Amino acid sequence: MSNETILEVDGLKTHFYTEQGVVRAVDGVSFDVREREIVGIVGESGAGKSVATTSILRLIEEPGQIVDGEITYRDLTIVGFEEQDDGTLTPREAMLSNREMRDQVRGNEIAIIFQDPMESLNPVYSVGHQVTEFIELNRELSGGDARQEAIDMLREVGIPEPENRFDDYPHEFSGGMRQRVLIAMALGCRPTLIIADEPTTALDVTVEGQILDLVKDLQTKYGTSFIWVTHDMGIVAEICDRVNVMYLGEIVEQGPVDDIFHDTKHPYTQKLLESIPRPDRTVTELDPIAGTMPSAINPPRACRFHTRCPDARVACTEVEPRFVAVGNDADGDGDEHEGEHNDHRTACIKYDDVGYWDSVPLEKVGDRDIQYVGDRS
Amino acid sequence: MSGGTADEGVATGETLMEVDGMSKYFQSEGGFLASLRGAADVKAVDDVTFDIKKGETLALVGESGCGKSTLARTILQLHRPTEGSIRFKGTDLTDLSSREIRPLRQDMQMVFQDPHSSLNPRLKVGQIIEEPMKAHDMYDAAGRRERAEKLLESVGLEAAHYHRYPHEFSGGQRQRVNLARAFSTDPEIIMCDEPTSALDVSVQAQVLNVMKRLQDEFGVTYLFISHDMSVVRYVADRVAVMYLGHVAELAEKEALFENPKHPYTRALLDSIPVPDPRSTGERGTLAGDVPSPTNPPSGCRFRTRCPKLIQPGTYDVTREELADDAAGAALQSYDLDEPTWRNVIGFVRAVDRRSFTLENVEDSPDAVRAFLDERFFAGSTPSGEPADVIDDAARLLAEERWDEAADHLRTTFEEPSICAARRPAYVLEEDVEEERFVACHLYRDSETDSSH
Ligand SMILES: Nc1ncnc2c1ncn2[C@@H]1O[C@H](COP(=O)(O)OP(=O)(O)OP(=O)(O)O)[C@@H](O)[C@H]1O
Ligand SMILES: Nc1ncnc2c1ncn2[C@@H]1O[C@H](COP(=O)(O)OP(=O)(O)OP(=O)(O)O)[C@@H](O)[C@H]1O
Ligand code: SF4
Ligand code: SF4
Ligand SMILES: [Mg+2]
Ligand SMILES: [Mg+2]
Repeated sequence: MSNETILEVDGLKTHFYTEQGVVRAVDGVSFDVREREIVGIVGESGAGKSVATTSILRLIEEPGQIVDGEITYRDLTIVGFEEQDDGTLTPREAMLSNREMRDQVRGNEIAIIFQDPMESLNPVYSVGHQVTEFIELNRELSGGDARQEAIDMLREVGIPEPENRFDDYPHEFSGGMRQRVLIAMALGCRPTLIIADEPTTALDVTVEGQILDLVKDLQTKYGTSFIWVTHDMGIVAEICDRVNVMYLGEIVEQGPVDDIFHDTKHPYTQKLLESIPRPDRTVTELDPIAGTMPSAINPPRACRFHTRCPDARVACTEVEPRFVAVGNDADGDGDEHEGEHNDHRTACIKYDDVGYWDSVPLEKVGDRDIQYVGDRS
Repeated sequence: MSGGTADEGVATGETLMEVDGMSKYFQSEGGFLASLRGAADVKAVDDVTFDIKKGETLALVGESGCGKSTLARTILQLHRPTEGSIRFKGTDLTDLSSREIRPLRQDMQMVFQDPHSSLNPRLKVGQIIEEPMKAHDMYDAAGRRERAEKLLESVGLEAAHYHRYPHEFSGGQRQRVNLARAFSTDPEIIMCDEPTSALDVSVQAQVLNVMKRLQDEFGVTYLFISHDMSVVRYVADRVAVMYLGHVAELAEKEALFENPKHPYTRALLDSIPVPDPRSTGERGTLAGDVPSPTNPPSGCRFRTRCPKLIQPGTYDVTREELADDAAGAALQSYDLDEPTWRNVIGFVRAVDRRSFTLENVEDSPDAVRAFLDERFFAGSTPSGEPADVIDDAARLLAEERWDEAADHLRTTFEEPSICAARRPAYVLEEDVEEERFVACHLYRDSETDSSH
């Protein structure tokens, strides 16, 4: 897959300055998106998936702030900093203004679809009105043309009789139909990239299937790229080309979907996969990750997963893991060569040469966990 | 007092709860006056019959709105049923007054989906767990406390958490508190309504494991409501699949997943994305929407979406059996071959759902007919009478009379089907032990026990 990279996120940090302290919601995240591909972001609630994706459109609100990192879309700098003499970071001049974000990026280049369609649709205006208005705002169409385009888009996403449903209000649509409307709006501006933040999580599996089919069709037709945020490994397996696994503000593993499932490297990804009940076979015993995700205010030092990791050793509490390439033997000739790599990377010191194997295993996971619960309260 | 409490124990595997012909209708929005004006009731649960056996986990699955929560609440008499009986250890709960039921609640507990709103934020966890014991006058204060602390440990928390408040706990921990509370009265049965749906997968797995352990320890029976087939596959012994207020299929878990019989069960299973990129099976998609429960389809409720709808004439149907609005339908058999029949029914539904447009087609009947032939009947097209009906439809469509076209097609091809005329309910004998209920006419000839 040698498609051109269209979006690059590098070392992104987005923090929230709350009364309880600084929530390090996204804390040094790097990934990219290429033309025509679907990139997944998975992880449990609170991992930072939504904050990471809304940062891309600079839609972070107070008390949140993008504090570091680079986000580049084609040749546009969405986020960029430079270091001053006193060591502080200030936005670079090349960084797009809010106005430029609105005019050049949001909607027409990168569109976003949120989990809850009711939050994105205004209950007091008809669906047709909202789609038309959206198209007028984002494209050079108005009046009858915009209306016609809106009807066409609604039909394309499978709303039956869009002419007749045009004046219906959002509450007169089912959840699946509302989600289709949002997809219609996102597509209406023919963006290059659509960020979909759990767009099917609230839907029944049958409706979800209809939406996934729709998205795949439209993707083939228009070549749109997607960032697909989800916690459903089934969806990831079905639609994603590459996957980023997030845990507590960081990406712990990234790679082609097949490697993530069949050559899993990071213990968190492994445990996550072991935690899911399977639809296709009967599992007699699930082996879940002990404990819960710690707070992002005072995340565990060094490897953030060390409080729950079954493989943790003392070194994991001391050495900050860095991304290492773990995709061996990309050309499949049985040897690993210098410089040979694919896109598979993980942040776990087991795969690095920093003393993990000489280090002493940590005590039982349960004990570690309770200790941390206590530390926080 | 506890007049009807049949306190003799029920042995594991024996029937604990018998639900017979139970329905729950809700008055439509607008209440009594609206119903006077003829607004139809919401048939949330409609004439369902099944047993729950002591010690088992019976899972109830189905899409949003199919009546799962209503069913559980009606069994517990939190809603009084519109019709039918619910026997708990032999006692018909519908015969009892609310006062007479109260003591029985000790044996029937419920756990809800939302771990955040279901715990009283002003009470300490210990008080929350003791509440039901107090209500049923169980133990003295010290005994209750001892039991609460023990239960906290059973659900994987600590006795020391007794003094904490709900807000100090994560979602998964709160759901454990809910479980501890439900178990406090040592109930026979717990209705769990999506107990893990709001939880993350790793936490869900923890809670599911706790539930299994508690069942082993206390021999409790679960009615486990979920819309997640994977979770059901993990926890259930038997599974009841609901669709629009009816039970479509009820079978032993392994049989249901490995050999689903009802077309709806199959569609539901096929639509789950498998968490494996190398999975070879194609995911299937079920088209269309669930119809409204105020005006559900006659006969089999799944028939407006069923990929297997049986051709009219395959089985004899009498005029009396037809739905009221289809009384004029011709009871005729066209004997279409299978591919042609599938094309026809695909077309009927496409018109009904308006899933295509004639915008770029000339509005003459011939042009429309040619378009339809290409779009819907490529390969095999019917001849004779069915072809005439499609011609009629083409004429109506050319005049943009979609509703009339849809009606005409439905009365010809769908309403006279046994699927629309008669409600299916068959009991199959899987092997000597296992009975299987399938509400689908495809199994009409394999029924072994027609007593149902
Ligand atoms: N406005 C805010 N103020 C303070 N903290 C916030 C805010 N928004 C998000 N956070 C915190 O940032 C972290 C990441 O949140 P985020 O919403 O990105 O998680 P997520 O991975 O999308 O989870 P979910 O699967 O539940 O949607 C969490 O700890 C969250 O509490
Ligand atoms: N108190 C009520 N008054 C009127 N209608 C109701 C009431 N409770 C439920 N309904 C309706 O009855 C039907 C079944 O609802 P129910 O909540 O039992 O479905 P469910 O299968 O539990 O769905 P979900 O998966 O969304 O929880 C729905 O059409 C619902 O709108
Ligand atoms: S670095 Fe250590 S604690 Fe972190 S994932 Fe790897 S083994 Fe586990
Ligand atoms: S009875 Fe008919 S419509 Fe219903 S599931 Fe069976 S074949 Fe399908
Ligand atoms: Mg989110
Ligand atoms: Mg419910």
